Amino acid sequence: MKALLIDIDAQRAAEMQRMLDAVGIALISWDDTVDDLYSTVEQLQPEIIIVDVDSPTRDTLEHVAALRQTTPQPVLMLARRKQSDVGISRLAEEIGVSLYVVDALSTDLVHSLIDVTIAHFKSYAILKREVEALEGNLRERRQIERAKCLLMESYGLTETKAYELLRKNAMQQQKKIVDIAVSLIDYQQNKAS
Amino acid sequence: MPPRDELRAPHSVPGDEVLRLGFIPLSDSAPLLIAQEQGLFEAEGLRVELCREHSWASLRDKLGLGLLHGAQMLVSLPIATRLGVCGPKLDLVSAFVLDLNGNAITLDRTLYERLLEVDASASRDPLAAARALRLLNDRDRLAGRSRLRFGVVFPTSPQNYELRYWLASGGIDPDRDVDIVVAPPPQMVELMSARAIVGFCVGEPWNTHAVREGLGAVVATKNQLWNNSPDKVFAVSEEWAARNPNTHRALLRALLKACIWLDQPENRLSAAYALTRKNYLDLPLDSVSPSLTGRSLRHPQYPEEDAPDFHVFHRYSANFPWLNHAEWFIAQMYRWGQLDVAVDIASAAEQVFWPDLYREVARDLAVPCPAINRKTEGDQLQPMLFASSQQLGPNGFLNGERFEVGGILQYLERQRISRADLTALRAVNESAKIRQCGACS
Repeated sequence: MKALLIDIDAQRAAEMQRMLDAVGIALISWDDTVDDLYSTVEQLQPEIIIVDVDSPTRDTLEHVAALRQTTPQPVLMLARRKQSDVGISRLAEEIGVSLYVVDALSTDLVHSLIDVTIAHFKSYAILKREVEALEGNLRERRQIERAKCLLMESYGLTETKAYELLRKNAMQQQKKIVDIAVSLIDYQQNKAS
Repeated sequence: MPPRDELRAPHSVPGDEVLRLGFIPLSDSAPLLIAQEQGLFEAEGLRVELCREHSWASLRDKLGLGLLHGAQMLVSLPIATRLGVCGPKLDLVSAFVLDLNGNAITLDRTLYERLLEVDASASRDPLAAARALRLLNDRDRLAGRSRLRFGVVFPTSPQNYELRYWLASGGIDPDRDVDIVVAPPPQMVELMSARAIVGFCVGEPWNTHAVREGLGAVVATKNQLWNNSPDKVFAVSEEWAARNPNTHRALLRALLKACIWLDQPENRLSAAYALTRKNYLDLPLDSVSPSLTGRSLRHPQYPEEDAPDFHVFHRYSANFPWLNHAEWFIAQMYRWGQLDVAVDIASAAEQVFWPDLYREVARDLAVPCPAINRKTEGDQLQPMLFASSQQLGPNGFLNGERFEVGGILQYLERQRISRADLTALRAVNESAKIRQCGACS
């Protein structure tokens, strides 16, 4: 397993290097004066990214993550205790990124942080996919509703009849009902404009 | 004396708690800086600590978490955050625009000279420059050269939308024809000097700095792309705003006073001095002062030009959070495929921008304020001055288009290069309109 380290100060990086070596995680340090983060992530495909919460590279990292929507990496953010005594754990819940406040690192701690981050990331990714699927369904239902209304208004049909008509067309054309609905809406709009 | 509601409400910030306000050092962090330096927060009974942040992402997260109470933010960032675009979904709001204009697109010298070879008017005319760039880009592609790479400061930043708007106005598809990467503003100049990018869209003083260093030339300023459009806002979380209405209002009063002071041309040089300090921009005065004192440095070999509206901090009703401005930025998120779930754009804008609160703040200070929440864009090439109520600046778009009140979908429809799924958007926005009409009758 590979971990990409971004903007963790030299002393901490050296500490982490020792610990991660011990548990068999290869550490890749990223030097912003030499390497480009986009190609680094693309080429090395790290399984996890560890970044300081105050790193100036965080904005770039968000863009890298947004570009790689199919295979994004879990991100572990590290902060020092002085920064924050309020609500830090909320971040993990609301942002889907793990943030931990740690002053002293130990091998066990780092290892379990990484485990938790990856597990959390996976469950978050599943949740996100489910939400997206639900939103997709909702969008389709709205379009079908709208096409039904159009048919009811234009031909004076009942709701059941309008739906039947959509369904029959979908079967005849071997398309999904929502596709028939969308083309009907489009047709009406073109006619109107 | 602390505002009254805070003495009663158990959960609110007590009057003596220090308010932590986040900022990223840029020329337009001036309102926060000036409000602090001139004791305007103190005069409102507030104790404020300005917290320098190193990325927009951490500024946003800390605001959402309550580690910061308020922050200077890219105008489109609270909007994107509210919608969960390219990041977490947090309940940020804004009732105050800190400034208009202030950005520019700078190209490296080599690319700039090549543009002039294609069309000499590219130095004066951003539209001609974009068209010339398209020609060059097509030529380069045929010659098998690698894609041009540009830098912006954040995925959902106005700078990203402005660069894309400019490229698309010349017929370049920003996603298919070029590469766009994200980098922090101070790094842009370094990346250009390392030839890692050929151009960037960024706020001041980084354009002037790149030109001063002889690295690049400015090809378009934000006021040429969409004149007097907003760039930074003061944002807080909705939860905090609900618990601390008086503190929020007092903060906005202090910022409004700072913006009024900053709008006076004679105060700009001392503001520039304040910004050059080590703990802020840490840059020489001749990189910071031009844009702030209404001068635009576009080319290393040419003299500065008059640009009185390069930064607008108060005139033209600058601090008013126009709902149609929020709508324009939401439209950009659709246009560039960052947002693909159809939402009701008008109500999304109303959730994040709070013009009514701004009106109260303006009334506290007897400052004139617009009575409407939306206005048409692209229809005024001259300032409109009304004696009693409000002032509006010119609002032209580079390509001469118009964006009418309530016409955001029509505006979006007219964009030739676009990723927006208009069918779903129309369905949601029209049914929302129908619902609202039903509620009226």
